[in-house]
Amino acid sequence: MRIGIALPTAIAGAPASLLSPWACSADAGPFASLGVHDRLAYDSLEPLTALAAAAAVTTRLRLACLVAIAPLRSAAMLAKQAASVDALSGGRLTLGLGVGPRRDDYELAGVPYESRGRILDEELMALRPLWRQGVPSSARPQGPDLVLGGLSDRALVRLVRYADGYVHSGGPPRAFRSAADRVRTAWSDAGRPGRPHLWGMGYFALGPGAEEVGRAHLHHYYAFAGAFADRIAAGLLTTPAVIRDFALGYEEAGCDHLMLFPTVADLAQVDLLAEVAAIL
Amino acid sequence: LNRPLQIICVGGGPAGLYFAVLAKQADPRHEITVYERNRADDTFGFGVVFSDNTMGFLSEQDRRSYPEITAASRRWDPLTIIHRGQTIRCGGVGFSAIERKKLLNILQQQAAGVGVELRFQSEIEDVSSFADANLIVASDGVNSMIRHTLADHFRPSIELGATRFTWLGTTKAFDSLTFFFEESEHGVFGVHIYPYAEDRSTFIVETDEGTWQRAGMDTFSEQDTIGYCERLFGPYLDGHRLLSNRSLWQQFRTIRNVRWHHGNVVLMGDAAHTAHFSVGSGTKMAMEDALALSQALQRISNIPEALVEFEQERRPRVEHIQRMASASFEWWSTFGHYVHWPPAQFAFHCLTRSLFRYDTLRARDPGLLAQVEAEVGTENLRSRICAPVPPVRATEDGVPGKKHQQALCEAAALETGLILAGTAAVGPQGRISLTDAGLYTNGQAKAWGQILQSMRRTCRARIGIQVVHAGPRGATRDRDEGLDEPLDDQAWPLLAASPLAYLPHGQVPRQMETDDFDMITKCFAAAAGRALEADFDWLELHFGHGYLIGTFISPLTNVRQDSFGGDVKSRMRFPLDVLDAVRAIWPRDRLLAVAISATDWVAGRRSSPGGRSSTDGTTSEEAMEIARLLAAHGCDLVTVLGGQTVARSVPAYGRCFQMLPAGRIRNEAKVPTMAVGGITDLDDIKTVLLSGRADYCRVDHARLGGL
Repeated sequence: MRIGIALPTAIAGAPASLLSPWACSADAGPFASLGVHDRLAYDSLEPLTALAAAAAVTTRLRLACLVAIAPLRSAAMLAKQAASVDALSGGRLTLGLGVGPRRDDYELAGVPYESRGRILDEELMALRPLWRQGVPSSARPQGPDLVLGGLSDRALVRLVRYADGYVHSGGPPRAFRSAADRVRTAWSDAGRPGRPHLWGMGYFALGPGAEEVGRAHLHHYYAFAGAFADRIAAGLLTTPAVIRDFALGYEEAGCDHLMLFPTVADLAQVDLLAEVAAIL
Repeated sequence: LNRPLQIICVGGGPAGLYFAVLAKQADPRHEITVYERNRADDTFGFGVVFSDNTMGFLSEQDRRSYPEITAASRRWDPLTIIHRGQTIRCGGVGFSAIERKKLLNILQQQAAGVGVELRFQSEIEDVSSFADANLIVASDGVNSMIRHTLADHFRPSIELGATRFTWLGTTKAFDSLTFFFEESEHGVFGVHIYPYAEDRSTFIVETDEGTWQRAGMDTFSEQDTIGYCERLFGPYLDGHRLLSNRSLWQQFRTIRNVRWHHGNVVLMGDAAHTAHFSVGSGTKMAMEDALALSQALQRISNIPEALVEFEQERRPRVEHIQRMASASFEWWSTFGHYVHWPPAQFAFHCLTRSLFRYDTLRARDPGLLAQVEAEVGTENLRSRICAPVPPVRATEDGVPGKKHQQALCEAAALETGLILAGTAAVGPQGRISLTDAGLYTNGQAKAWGQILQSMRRTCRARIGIQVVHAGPRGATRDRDEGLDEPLDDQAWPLLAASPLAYLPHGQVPRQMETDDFDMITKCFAAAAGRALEADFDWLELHFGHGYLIGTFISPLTNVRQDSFGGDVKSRMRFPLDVLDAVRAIWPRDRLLAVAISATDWVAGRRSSPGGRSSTDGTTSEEAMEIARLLAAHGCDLVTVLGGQTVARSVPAYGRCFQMLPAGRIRNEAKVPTMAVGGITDLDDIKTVLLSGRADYCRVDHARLGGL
């Protein structure tokens, strides 16, 4: 299993100037990828723009958008942005797509929240043909790696029809395992060759005082989710031992790539996580 | 802070009352009135049942009123199955029950205590008189008048169950939730017993339509029913009586609604959805609805938006329960076919009908599973496993190569009884994509033959090949890029039973006409001949998943007006011609399997007995008829697939998710089956094989490592 670290681009108040040194530090560290979240109605950087900036200062990291809220963008615009990042980075983009749980993002974008599933379906149908037309050319003719979030039966039908893999929305290894099992079952049933790429996600905060700042960030970021925010904040990984257990649990459950998201906008977090990741 | 609301609840059952209590507790400024048609003490039915899961969720979320309900409930752990006089206990399956009247009284008192206004003997049929209300909750039950009046908006569907049942009570307090099976001279009866008080148990008697008619129950009075049931179940009642309370014979109605809200009116509880009582979830769903709606109102001040949130949160959970209930109900509609089984296996079959699997039961009650294994026997399980070789690319000529051989070696290492070496097209125009292997040239047959020959030295498994004509799903890109994406150039013209494109942007196939039938039949026969030449031990014809022959079988893809379309016999006419031609070539001593989509997985549910609508696709009854016809024409084994017949198929992916139709085909149509789908390890294999649902299990190709 590979370990990635995400950029602090969705932490409210984090300076944009943190992106370059963070990405460089990660590129030099034991990480396989650099991740971003997507949110419109929030103090955050636009994820594909952030990955384009990261592409310019990194050489090897996979750039993972986990996940872009696809219906907020038109299919053609999304295809073009993703192909651009893929081309700029020499084929390093993994594009995660989903519908996201937040109504305010849709209101701000002027997209009907109720139609989000249908819009995602239409976009997925359009993306690969747009990429194959190649304006601009992504690194591979069929476009960047495409992974989808969502676990309903309908989401799994979509996944095996269009995508290369699945990105889990977070939670303990046990929940990931049962999700991964269903994804692999759908994959086999559809007669797709090989195996789906399985991505996991977690939140971390390391070092003295980080836990409190990290939990405050998660409560702020997930304020829309009501009581569920408490559960997410409670799952924050705050010590090297806890991160190791979490990562081993994910690996045993079949995860290919675990992305750890920072909750503290401090460059020192990269080194602290690097120490843990180096011995995993 | 949100503004105070005027809320009307129509119907004072658990959904309406519990919601009123929670909403008023959350914000005492709300003015909430509950209208109930009956008096405070009128109540029908005996006890209601909750699973342990419910108790956990509600007690976590509601620390104020729920503890009182828990305190008044009775909880029991083992589930008891009494089968032809023998008692089987399954531990670790917790349920609780409470007298319905007691539950309502607790909720009524709580509602009055927090200041909800309760108006009894008030029948509300039309909500237009509540013009001032901010929110109208239609918690008026399974016969909801509000749902009926606003049917254009809610678009309800009511599926009538195949069984007949009646709610009785008894003064005997059974010691646990008990399923009870007994035969009379008229047929078989199942009883669901929920003890809910020191001296009372709910006693629901259920039977099939035929038995019900033979017993003359269509003309029974309540007293006749009591008399019949006391005679039949007397030996188990220890002298106790059965009690009636409006105990008429009914058919269970599964209610679904396309929408649960309209403007400021929202459906809740039975008005919105029902699920067969064998999963004990009706009251649970009603109370969870109440909790979710009260929480949505706290979060969102705009009522229509809160109702959207409510429905979005609840619908997936409710549909999940409805799906489990539908599987459970199907079992309760067909258990007569299984009552002659030995008791532990019968119990295992019953317990694995929807929620439980081998390992989840073993964790609860290892003793029971040991009993099942002893009864059924676990020798030779491995010989009944089929390992499929994962899809591998062939050369442009459809010739299998090194990759096939290597993948086959990996499958052979699993030491299963059967191996499926892959899928081969029966002709160049029967390919799915350009790199599919084939069995339409001598070169292909020779290459397969060489691969097989090299395997024989070490591999004892019987090696088979699946042959397919892709039909409307042909001429697509390689599946490592996704499914059914049409080729831009290099595409070839497609064939199907009817001219229906698989995807909206896909090529419209040509409807098969006179010469095509002969040509396709010959393709299959020739492929069988080449498979024999290559020395395959068994052969599988792919008649499912929306491929050419499958398009004839599903009513969703066959809209022909000629003798090849129409009822299931006509739709099977051409598939059987193909089978006959293959059987004429394929030797009797080599297994001939046919893979079918036993369900179309449309409308998000399996079609269930008696509930057919024209958009449901192939019904369970039709699937069994299809299997019987195939067997009559020389098919040795039906491989039970599902879905993919149309792109809108949505299978209920999960563990062993297609074993139920395999079981019915094996035990009711009496045709040997291979179960496929969500089978990943020995626990899944035992779930399927020990419950007698299949003769063989095919493991998911992406999970071969689990063996």
